[in-house]
Amino acid sequence: MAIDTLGANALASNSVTTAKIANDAVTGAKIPADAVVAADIADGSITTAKLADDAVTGAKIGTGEVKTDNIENSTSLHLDCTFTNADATVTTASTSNLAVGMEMHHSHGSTTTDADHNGSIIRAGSRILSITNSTTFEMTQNAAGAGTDVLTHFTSGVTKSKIANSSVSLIKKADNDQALEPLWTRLVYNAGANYTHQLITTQGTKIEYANGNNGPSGIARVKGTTGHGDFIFMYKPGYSWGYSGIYLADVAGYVDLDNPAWMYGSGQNAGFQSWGFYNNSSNNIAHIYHWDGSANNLDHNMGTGTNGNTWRVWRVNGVLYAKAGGYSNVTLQASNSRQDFVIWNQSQSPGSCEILQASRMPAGGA
Amino acid sequence: MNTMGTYKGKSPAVVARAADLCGWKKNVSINMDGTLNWWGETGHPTDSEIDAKLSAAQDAHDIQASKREDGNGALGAPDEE
Repeated sequence: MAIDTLGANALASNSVTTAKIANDAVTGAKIPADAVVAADIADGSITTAKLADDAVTGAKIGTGEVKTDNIENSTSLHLDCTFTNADATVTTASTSNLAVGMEMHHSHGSTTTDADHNGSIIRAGSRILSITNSTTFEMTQNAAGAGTDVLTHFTSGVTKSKIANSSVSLIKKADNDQALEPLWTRLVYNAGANYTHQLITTQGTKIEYANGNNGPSGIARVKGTTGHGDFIFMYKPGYSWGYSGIYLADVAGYVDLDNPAWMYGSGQNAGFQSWGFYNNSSNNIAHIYHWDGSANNLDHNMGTGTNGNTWRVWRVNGVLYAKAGGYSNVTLQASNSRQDFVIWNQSQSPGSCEILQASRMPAGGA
Repeated sequence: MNTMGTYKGKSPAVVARAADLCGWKKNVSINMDGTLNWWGETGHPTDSEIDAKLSAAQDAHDIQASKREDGNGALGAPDEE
Protein backbone atom coordinates (compact mmCIF):
# COMPACT_ATOMS: atom_id res chain seq x y z
CA MET A 1 0.00 0.00 0.00
CA ALA A 2 1.25 3.35 -0.99
CA ILE A 3 1.74 5.91 1.68
CA ASP A 4 0.26 9.25 0.68
CA THR A 5 0.67 11.12 3.89
CA LEU A 6 3.04 10.78 6.79
CA GLY A 7 1.96 12.66 9.87
CA ALA A 8 4.42 14.27 12.15
CA ASN A 9 3.54 11.76 14.85
CA ALA A 10 4.65 8.99 12.53
CA LEU A 11 8.23 10.24 12.63
CA ALA A 12 10.37 8.91 15.37
CA SER A 13 12.27 11.39 17.48
CA ASN A 14 15.64 12.14 15.95
CA SER A 15 14.60 10.43 12.76
CA VAL A 16 15.12 13.48 10.50
CA THR A 17 18.85 13.51 10.19
CA THR A 18 20.97 15.98 8.24
CA ALA A 19 21.18 13.46 5.41
CA LYS A 20 17.38 13.51 5.07
CA ILE A 21 17.27 17.27 4.46
CA ALA A 22 17.76 18.32 0.86
CA ASN A 23 20.40 20.90 0.08
CA ASP A 24 18.98 24.40 0.35
CA ALA A 25 15.84 22.99 1.98
CA VAL A 26 16.11 25.03 5.18
CA THR A 27 15.18 28.63 4.34
CA GLY A 28 15.42 31.68 6.55
CA ALA A 29 11.68 31.47 7.29
CA LYS A 30 12.19 28.05 8.87
CA ILE A 31 14.63 29.38 11.45
CA PRO A 32 12.91 31.00 14.43
CA ALA A 33 14.05 34.36 15.69
CA ASP A 34 16.94 34.03 18.13
CA ALA A 35 17.40 30.38 17.13
CA VAL A 36 20.94 30.90 15.89
CA VAL A 37 23.04 31.60 18.92
CA ALA A 38 26.73 32.43 19.04
CA ALA A 39 27.61 28.82 19.78
CA ASP A 40 26.14 27.80 16.41
CA ILE A 41 28.52 30.05 14.50
CA ALA A 42 31.86 28.54 13.65
CA ASP A 43 34.92 30.42 14.75
CA GLY A 44 36.24 32.55 11.93
CA SER A 45 33.17 32.08 9.80
CA ILE A 46 31.96 35.69 9.80
CA THR A 47 33.95 37.36 7.09
CA THR A 48 34.24 41.03 6.22
CA ALA A 49 31.74 40.49 3.40
CA LYS A 50 29.12 39.45 5.93
CA LEU A 51 29.30 42.77 7.76
CA ALA A 52 27.18 45.58 6.48
CA ASP A 53 28.75 48.96 5.84
CA ASP A 54 28.76 50.97 9.05
CA ALA A 55 27.79 47.83 10.98
CA VAL A 56 30.69 48.08 13.43
CA THR A 57 29.88 50.96 15.74
CA GLY A 58 32.05 52.54 18.38
CA ALA A 59 30.27 50.62 21.12
CA LYS A 60 31.41 47.36 19.52
CA ILE A 61 35.08 48.26 19.80
CA GLY A 62 36.63 47.48 23.14
CA THR A 63 38.64 50.05 25.01
CA GLY A 64 42.27 49.85 23.95
CA GLU A 65 41.48 47.55 21.02
CA VAL A 66 42.50 50.03 18.33
CA LYS A 67 46.24 49.51 18.05
CA THR A 68 48.89 51.55 16.32
CA ASP A 69 48.89 49.11 13.41
CA ASN A 70 45.18 49.81 12.86
CA ILE A 71 45.78 53.50 12.31
CA GLU A 72 46.58 54.58 8.81
CA ASN A 73 49.98 56.17 8.40
CA SER A 74 49.66 59.92 8.09
CA THR A 75 50.30 61.51 4.72
CA SER A 76 50.55 65.11 3.67
CA LEU A 77 50.84 66.41 0.14
CA HIS A 78 50.08 69.49 -1.89
CA LEU A 79 48.53 69.58 -5.34
CA ASP A 80 47.28 72.30 -7.64
CA CYS A 81 43.56 71.75 -8.07
CA THR A 82 40.84 73.32 -10.16
CA PHE A 83 37.48 73.94 -8.58
CA THR A 84 34.10 74.91 -9.98
CA ASN A 85 31.79 77.04 -7.90
CA ALA A 86 28.96 75.09 -6.25
CA ASP A 87 30.35 71.83 -7.60
CA ALA A 88 32.06 68.99 -5.73
CA THR A 89 34.11 67.87 -8.72
CA VAL A 90 37.81 68.72 -8.62
CA THR A 91 40.48 68.17 -11.24
CA THR A 92 44.21 67.89 -10.71
CA ALA A 93 47.27 66.62 -12.57
CA SER A 94 47.15 63.19 -10.95
CA THR A 95 45.03 61.52 -8.32
CA SER A 96 47.51 58.68 -7.86
CA ASN A 97 48.55 59.80 -4.37
CA LEU A 98 45.06 60.71 -3.22
CA ALA A 99 42.74 58.50 -1.20
CA VAL A 100 39.12 58.60 -0.19
CA GLY A 101 38.67 60.34 3.14
CA MET A 102 41.68 62.66 2.89
CA GLU A 103 41.11 66.04 4.48
CA MET A 104 41.44 69.07 2.25
CA HIS A 105 42.56 72.54 3.22
CA HIS A 106 43.81 75.61 1.51
CA SER A 107 47.56 75.37 1.52
CA HIS A 108 48.09 78.26 3.90
CA GLY A 109 46.86 75.95 6.56
CA SER A 110 43.72 77.67 7.67
CA THR A 111 40.50 75.76 7.92
CA THR A 112 38.65 79.00 7.65
CA THR A 113 38.07 80.76 4.40
CA ASP A 114 39.59 84.07 3.51
CA ALA A 115 39.98 85.81 0.21
CA ASP A 116 43.63 86.66 0.65
CA HIS A 117 44.73 83.09 0.12
CA ASN A 118 42.15 81.89 -2.39
CA GLY A 119 40.64 80.57 0.77
CA SER A 120 37.06 81.02 -0.29
CA ILE A 121 36.89 77.79 -2.25
CA ILE A 122 37.38 74.74 -0.03
CA ARG A 123 34.84 74.62 2.73
CA ALA A 124 36.00 73.75 6.23
CA GLY A 125 35.78 70.04 6.88
CA SER A 126 35.95 69.01 3.23
CA ARG A 127 37.31 65.57 2.40
CA ILE A 128 37.71 63.41 -0.68
CA LEU A 129 34.42 61.55 -1.22
CA SER A 130 35.46 59.46 -4.20
CA ILE A 131 38.09 59.29 -6.88
CA THR A 132 36.61 59.30 -10.34
CA ASN A 133 39.69 58.76 -12.49
CA SER A 134 43.36 59.66 -12.76
CA THR A 135 42.68 63.41 -12.82
CA THR A 136 39.29 63.88 -11.18
CA PHE A 137 37.81 63.35 -7.75
CA GLU A 138 34.76 64.40 -5.77
CA MET A 139 34.72 66.36 -2.51
CA THR A 140 32.29 65.78 0.31
CA GLN A 141 31.08 69.36 -0.07
CA ASN A 142 30.58 71.65 -3.03
CA ALA A 143 33.24 74.25 -3.63
CA ALA A 144 32.39 77.67 -2.31
CA GLY A 145 34.02 79.36 -5.28
CA ALA A 146 35.82 78.73 -8.54
CA GLY A 147 39.60 78.59 -8.90
CA THR A 148 42.28 77.26 -11.20
CA ASP A 149 45.50 75.69 -9.95
CA VAL A 150 44.66 76.41 -6.33
CA LEU A 151 47.38 74.94 -4.11
CA THR A 152 45.55 72.45 -1.93
CA HIS A 153 46.78 70.55 1.09
CA PHE A 154 45.69 66.91 1.46
CA THR A 155 46.17 64.95 4.67
CA SER A 156 45.24 61.52 5.94
CA GLY A 157 45.78 59.38 8.99
CA VAL A 158 46.04 61.46 12.14
CA THR A 159 45.06 64.76 10.60
CA LYS A 160 44.90 68.27 11.94
CA SER A 161 41.21 67.99 12.73
CA LYS A 162 41.92 64.97 14.97
CA ILE A 163 44.23 66.96 17.22
CA ALA A 164 42.60 69.32 19.67
CA ASN A 165 43.84 72.88 19.80
CA SER A 166 46.67 73.39 22.29
CA SER A 167 46.98 69.65 22.81
CA VAL A 168 50.48 69.29 21.34
CA SER A 169 52.77 69.74 24.32
CA LEU A 170 56.45 70.61 24.18
CA ILE A 171 57.77 67.08 24.28
CA LYS A 172 55.40 66.02 21.49
CA LYS A 173 56.99 68.39 19.05
CA ALA A 174 59.71 67.45 16.61
CA ASP A 175 63.17 67.43 18.11
CA ASN A 176 64.21 70.58 16.29
CA ASP A 177 61.15 72.39 17.60
CA GLN A 178 61.91 71.45 21.21
CA ALA A 179 65.50 72.60 21.04
CA LEU A 180 66.99 74.85 23.66
CA GLU A 181 66.96 78.51 22.83
CA PRO A 182 68.52 81.38 24.77
CA LEU A 183 65.24 82.82 25.89
CA TRP A 184 63.45 83.07 29.23
CA THR A 185 59.81 82.13 28.77
CA ARG A 186 56.64 81.51 30.77
CA LEU A 187 57.40 84.12 33.41
CA VAL A 188 55.77 83.58 36.79
CA TYR A 189 55.67 86.29 39.43
CA ASN A 190 57.25 85.40 42.76
CA ALA A 191 57.42 87.01 46.20
CA GLY A 192 54.96 89.79 45.44
CA ALA A 193 56.20 90.81 42.00
CA ASN A 194 53.73 92.59 39.76
CA TYR A 195 53.41 94.76 36.68
CA THR A 196 55.72 97.39 38.15
CA HIS A 197 58.73 95.08 37.94
CA GLN A 198 60.61 94.44 34.74
CA LEU A 199 62.04 91.02 35.30
CA ILE A 200 63.17 89.94 31.84
CA THR A 201 65.60 92.14 29.95
CA THR A 202 68.32 92.01 27.33
CA GLN A 203 66.05 90.78 24.55
CA GLY A 204 64.70 87.99 26.71
CA THR A 205 68.06 86.47 27.64
CA LYS A 206 68.34 87.84 31.16
CA ILE A 207 66.08 87.52 34.17
CA GLU A 208 66.89 89.85 37.03
CA TYR A 209 65.34 91.13 40.22
CA ALA A 210 67.15 93.65 42.37
CA ASN A 211 64.24 94.22 44.68
CA GLY A 212 65.69 93.83 48.13
CA ASN A 213 66.44 90.78 50.24
CA ASN A 214 63.80 88.14 49.47
CA GLY A 215 61.88 90.83 47.62
CA PRO A 216 59.79 90.49 44.47
CA SER A 217 61.30 88.26 41.79
CA GLY A 218 60.35 86.11 38.87
CA ILE A 219 60.70 82.54 37.75
CA ALA A 220 61.01 81.65 34.10
CA ARG A 221 61.89 78.66 32.04
CA VAL A 222 64.50 78.45 29.32
CA LYS A 223 62.75 77.83 26.04
CA GLY A 224 62.90 74.21 24.95
CA THR A 225 64.65 71.33 26.64
CA THR A 226 68.07 69.74 26.37
CA GLY A 227 66.85 66.61 24.65
CA HIS A 228 68.44 63.27 25.47
CA GLY A 229 71.68 63.90 23.66
CA ASP A 230 74.48 66.40 23.78
CA PHE A 231 73.78 70.01 24.68
CA ILE A 232 75.49 73.13 25.98
CA PHE A 233 74.06 75.74 28.31
CA MET A 234 76.14 78.76 29.29
CA TYR A 235 74.97 81.51 31.60
CA LYS A 236 76.17 84.28 33.84
CA PRO A 237 74.70 84.17 37.35
CA GLY A 238 74.31 87.30 39.44
CA TYR A 239 76.51 87.92 42.46
CA SER A 240 74.43 89.50 45.20
CA TRP A 241 72.61 88.70 48.46
CA GLY A 242 70.15 86.29 46.88
CA TYR A 243 71.06 83.09 45.11
CA SER A 244 71.51 83.32 41.38
CA GLY A 245 71.73 80.38 39.05
CA ILE A 246 69.63 77.65 37.56
CA TYR A 247 67.87 74.39 38.21
CA LEU A 248 68.23 71.48 35.82
CA ALA A 249 65.58 68.79 36.18
CA ASP A 250 64.48 65.68 34.32
CA VAL A 251 61.41 66.38 32.18
CA ALA A 252 60.20 62.84 32.90
CA GLY A 253 59.58 63.85 36.50
CA TYR A 254 56.79 66.19 35.52
CA VAL A 255 53.29 65.18 34.59
CA ASP A 256 52.73 68.21 32.40
CA LEU A 257 55.39 70.82 31.81
CA ASP A 258 52.86 73.03 30.09
CA ASN A 259 50.61 73.20 33.10
CA PRO A 260 50.90 76.81 34.26
CA ALA A 261 51.05 75.52 37.82
CA TRP A 262 53.97 73.15 37.24
CA MET A 263 56.34 73.07 40.15
CA TYR A 264 58.83 75.88 39.77
CA GLY A 265 60.50 74.54 42.85
CA SER A 266 63.87 72.93 43.10
CA GLY A 267 63.02 70.04 40.78
CA GLN A 268 63.09 67.45 43.52
CA ASN A 269 60.74 64.88 42.06
CA ALA A 270 60.84 61.39 43.57
CA GLY A 271 62.77 59.01 41.37
CA PHE A 272 64.12 61.65 39.01
CA GLN A 273 67.39 63.50 39.15
CA SER A 274 67.96 67.23 39.21
CA TRP A 275 70.75 69.66 39.92
CA GLY A 276 70.75 73.12 41.44
CA PHE A 277 73.48 75.68 40.73
CA TYR A 278 73.91 78.35 43.39
CA ASN A 279 75.97 81.51 43.46
CA ASN A 280 75.79 84.53 45.74
CA SER A 281 77.81 87.19 47.47
CA SER A 282 76.28 87.16 50.94
CA ASN A 283 77.49 83.64 51.66
CA ASN A 284 80.08 84.03 48.93
CA ILE A 285 79.67 80.50 47.65
CA ALA A 286 79.47 78.64 44.38
CA HIS A 287 77.68 75.36 45.02
CA ILE A 288 76.16 72.60 42.94
CA TYR A 289 73.53 70.46 44.65
CA HIS A 290 72.33 67.11 43.34
CA TRP A 291 68.91 65.62 43.94
CA ASP A 292 69.39 61.90 43.28
CA GLY A 293 65.71 61.09 43.25
CA SER A 294 65.32 60.78 46.98
CA ALA A 295 67.83 63.08 48.71
CA ASN A 296 69.45 66.42 48.06
CA ASN A 297 73.16 66.78 48.72
CA LEU A 298 75.93 69.25 48.09
CA ASP A 299 77.54 67.66 45.06
CA HIS A 300 80.33 70.15 44.46
CA ASN A 301 81.56 73.00 46.61
CA MET A 302 83.31 74.92 43.89
CA GLY A 303 84.65 77.64 46.17
CA THR A 304 83.78 81.26 46.66
CA GLY A 305 81.07 82.86 44.59
CA THR A 306 81.83 84.12 41.12
CA ASN A 307 81.24 87.69 40.04
CA GLY A 308 80.48 88.12 36.37
CA ASN A 309 81.96 84.82 35.29
CA THR A 310 80.39 82.31 32.93
CA TRP A 311 78.98 79.03 34.20
CA ARG A 312 78.48 76.07 31.92
CA VAL A 313 76.50 72.85 31.96
CA TRP A 314 76.94 70.47 29.07
CA ARG A 315 76.68 66.87 28.04
CA VAL A 316 78.86 64.84 25.75
CA ASN A 317 78.06 61.25 24.90
CA GLY A 318 76.14 60.56 28.08
CA VAL A 319 78.49 62.38 30.45
CA LEU A 320 77.15 65.46 32.17
CA TYR A 321 79.61 68.21 33.09
CA ALA A 322 79.60 71.61 34.74
CA LYS A 323 82.04 74.44 35.12
CA ALA A 324 81.65 77.47 37.37
CA GLY A 325 83.64 80.45 36.19
CA GLY A 326 87.36 79.76 36.44
CA TYR A 327 86.97 76.63 38.54
CA SER A 328 87.84 73.26 37.08
CA ASN A 329 85.37 71.13 35.21
CA VAL A 330 83.34 68.78 37.36
CA THR A 331 81.45 65.68 36.32
CA LEU A 332 77.84 65.63 37.41
CA GLN A 333 77.04 62.24 35.95
CA ALA A 334 79.82 60.01 34.67
CA SER A 335 77.77 57.83 32.33
CA ASN A 336 74.32 57.15 30.97
CA SER A 337 73.10 60.71 31.30
CA ARG A 338 70.20 60.61 28.88
CA GLN A 339 67.69 62.74 30.73
CA ASP A 340 65.80 65.38 28.83
CA PHE A 341 66.31 68.39 31.07
CA VAL A 342 64.23 71.48 31.59
CA ILE A 343 66.01 74.54 32.97
CA TRP A 344 64.72 77.40 35.06
CA ASN A 345 66.22 80.10 37.24
CA GLN A 346 66.88 80.54 40.92
CA SER A 347 64.50 83.26 41.99
CA GLN A 348 65.77 84.87 45.15
CA SER A 349 66.04 88.65 45.09
CA PRO A 350 68.42 90.29 44.56
CA GLY A 351 69.69 88.03 41.83
CA SER A 352 69.90 87.49 38.11
CA CYS A 353 70.75 85.00 35.44
CA GLU A 354 71.75 85.81 31.88
CA ILE A 355 71.74 83.11 29.24
CA LEU A 356 74.81 83.30 27.03
CA GLN A 357 74.34 80.19 24.93
CA ALA A 358 71.73 77.45 24.88
CA SER A 359 71.63 74.76 22.27
CA ARG A 360 71.32 71.09 21.63
CA MET A 361 74.32 69.70 19.78
CA PRO A 362 72.83 67.45 17.10
CA ALA A 363 76.23 66.56 15.66
CA GLY A 364 77.75 65.92 19.07
CA GLY A 365 79.28 68.07 21.77
CA ALA A 366 82.84 68.31 22.93
CA MET B 1 55.69 86.27 67.00
CA ASN B 2 56.28 82.84 65.57
CA THR B 3 54.90 80.44 68.13
CA MET B 4 54.43 77.36 65.95
CA GLY B 5 58.08 76.58 65.39
CA THR B 6 57.55 77.16 61.71
CA TYR B 7 57.89 80.09 59.38
CA LYS B 8 55.56 78.68 56.77
CA GLY B 9 53.35 81.48 55.53
CA LYS B 10 55.68 84.16 56.80
CA SER B 11 56.95 86.71 54.34
CA PRO B 12 60.50 85.77 53.33
CA ALA B 13 61.26 89.47 53.03
CA VAL B 14 60.19 90.03 56.66
CA VAL B 15 62.29 87.07 57.80
CA ALA B 16 65.26 88.50 55.91
CA ARG B 17 64.73 91.83 57.66
CA ALA B 18 64.52 90.08 61.04
CA ALA B 19 67.78 88.28 60.33
CA ASP B 20 69.39 91.56 59.38
CA LEU B 21 68.18 93.12 62.62
CA CYS B 22 69.93 90.25 64.35
CA GLY B 23 73.11 91.28 62.58
CA TRP B 24 73.01 88.42 60.07
CA LYS B 25 74.02 89.69 56.65
CA LYS B 26 74.11 86.35 54.87
CA ASN B 27 71.35 84.57 53.08
CA VAL B 28 68.27 83.14 54.74
CA SER B 29 65.22 81.58 53.17
CA ILE B 30 62.26 79.51 54.26
CA ASN B 31 62.23 75.81 53.47
CA MET B 32 59.14 74.05 52.20
CA ASP B 33 58.62 72.58 55.67
CA GLY B 34 58.62 76.02 57.27
CA THR B 35 62.06 75.85 58.84
CA LEU B 36 64.66 78.47 58.11
CA ASN B 37 67.39 77.65 55.62
CA TRP B 38 70.73 79.12 56.61
CA TRP B 39 72.48 77.38 53.74
CA GLY B 40 74.89 75.43 55.85
CA GLU B 41 76.28 78.45 57.63
CA THR B 42 77.06 78.41 61.32
CA GLY B 43 76.65 81.20 63.82
CA HIS B 44 73.30 82.25 62.46
CA PRO B 45 70.55 83.61 64.72
CA THR B 46 68.36 81.16 66.54
CA ASP B 47 64.66 80.90 65.90
CA SER B 48 64.05 82.69 69.20
CA GLU B 49 66.26 85.55 68.16
CA ILE B 50 64.49 85.80 64.83
CA ASP B 51 61.12 85.67 66.56
CA ALA B 52 62.14 88.52 68.80
CA LYS B 53 62.79 90.71 65.77
CA LEU B 54 59.82 89.70 63.65
CA SER B 55 57.53 92.43 64.90
CA ALA B 56 60.04 95.19 64.26
CA ALA B 57 60.89 93.65 60.92
CA GLN B 58 57.23 93.54 59.95
CA ASP B 59 56.76 97.19 60.92
CA ALA B 60 59.76 98.30 58.91
CA HIS B 61 58.58 96.22 55.99
CA ASP B 62 55.07 97.66 56.08
CA ILE B 63 56.20 101.26 56.42
CA GLN B 64 58.39 100.92 53.37
CA ALA B 65 55.77 99.01 51.42
CA SER B 66 53.10 101.62 52.09
CA LYS B 67 55.21 104.29 50.44
CA ARG B 68 55.80 102.37 47.22
CA GLU B 69 53.68 101.67 44.19
CA ASP B 70 54.93 98.10 44.04
CA GLY B 71 54.26 97.48 47.73
CA ASN B 72 57.77 96.12 48.18
CA GLY B 73 58.96 96.17 51.77
CA ALA B 74 62.11 94.13 51.27
CA LEU B 75 65.34 95.36 52.78
CA GLY B 76 67.55 97.07 50.25
CA ALA B 77 64.90 97.52 47.60
CA PRO B 78 66.03 100.25 45.21
CA ASP B 79 63.97 103.39 44.91
CA GLU B 80 61.20 103.32 42.40
CA GLU B 81 61.42 105.51 39.31
